[in-house]
Amino acid sequence: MDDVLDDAANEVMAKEDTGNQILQWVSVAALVYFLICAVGLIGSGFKTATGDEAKEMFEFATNPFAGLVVGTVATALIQSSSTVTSIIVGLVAGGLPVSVAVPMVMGANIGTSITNTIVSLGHVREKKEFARAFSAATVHDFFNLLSVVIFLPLEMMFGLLEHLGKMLAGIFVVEDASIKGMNFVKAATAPVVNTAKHSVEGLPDGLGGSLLILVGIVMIFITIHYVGKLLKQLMVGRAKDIMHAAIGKGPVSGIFSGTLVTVLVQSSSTTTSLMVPLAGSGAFGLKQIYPFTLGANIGTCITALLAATAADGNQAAALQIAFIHLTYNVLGVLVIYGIPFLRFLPVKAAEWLGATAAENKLVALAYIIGVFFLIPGLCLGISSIL
Amino acid sequence: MSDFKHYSTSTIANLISDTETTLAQLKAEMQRREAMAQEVQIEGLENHMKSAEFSLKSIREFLAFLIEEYRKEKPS
Repeated sequence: MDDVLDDAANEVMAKEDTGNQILQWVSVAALVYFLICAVGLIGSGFKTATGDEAKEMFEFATNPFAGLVVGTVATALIQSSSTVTSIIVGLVAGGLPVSVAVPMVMGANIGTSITNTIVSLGHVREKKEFARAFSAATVHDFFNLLSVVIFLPLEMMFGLLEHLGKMLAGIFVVEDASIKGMNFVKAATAPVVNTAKHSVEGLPDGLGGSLLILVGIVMIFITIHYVGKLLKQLMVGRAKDIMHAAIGKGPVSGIFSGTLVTVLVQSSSTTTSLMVPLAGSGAFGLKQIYPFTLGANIGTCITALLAATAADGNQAAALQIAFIHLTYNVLGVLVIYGIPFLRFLPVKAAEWLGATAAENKLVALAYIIGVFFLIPGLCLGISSIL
Repeated sequence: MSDFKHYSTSTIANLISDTETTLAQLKAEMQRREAMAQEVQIEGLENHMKSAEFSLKSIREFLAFLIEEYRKEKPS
């Protein structure tokens, strides 16, 4: 009798779980829809607010170092590179020059790595554990810093990423891919974007455009926050399977798994932060954690690509910056991990910093404040004087 | 340490072979244990997911720890 009751209870619970999951997936789809709408709003608002003067408005960021700092600090403060890159995509669609946006995207990569560094501070009470956790967190920082050191000069000298991004965007421009010139994503988001546009029509262009941008930014914040939360609940089992499968399979499998887990949870900081307790426990070595971290950089590009599909305004440029983000991260992995001399530089630097910070915890504090706020602030100050 | 000079060549060859086999077995056992420990950690991914979220609490705790350490080191 008890067994029959248990079975019935389990069946009811299983049905409730399935019902919940369906509801959660519907919510994810709705949130993604609003994320795309939000990027459309930002593009449209920026275009309305600036007219043809977007370039002049961002004159201060034409210095690539300033752009880099803007991207770093904004992401470090907001705690989400997906949010910052989606906003950048919207701004580019609204007229922000791609060349100005490229260093910002690079900066977003640096800024996002503060999350796992802060997560690693939670291990402070156990010296060895802290050394491992802090190293696992900062290996991401050192990789991203090295990536900037390599690619920013190449971008400044040859416009390498801009050219590659343009080429890829040229292949995927949605106007050409859609049937009879109709862009389905744009058509689907048009009701929300147009309603918002009409509601600010009576206002002066500057104010109306700024309002649209503000609404778009708030929408991106909310959608990315809740999409992340829902996907974490829905995808933890799948992430587990992927990571189980990757154990002992080598670095390429690690990179691939890191990418996949990040696409599933829609947040590189979640993937890299997950590596912190895994390393802290001592079960995973830094060299095993490292490829997952690299994969996270690639996986996070999906949000900007998704956002670019419905950009209102210059869609080719929006897609270009989204592809630049992807190309930059893929090339970063290929070059740094592919060249033996460079491969373990971030690991060695992170190991040294972890050991040093475990001896003197103030080093950890100075490192976080210095790398993410003080140095960028100084650079911004100097670049504005020059 | 044994005095290998008195061992026959075939004994040394056998010893090398045995040692290599034992070493391979020990390495395999070590790898198996490492993989097991990793599997266990991944099984706890839900918990790691919770602790891997950015929170001001970890900064507060870190600062509290620093102050605690500073007070301990400071001669009274």
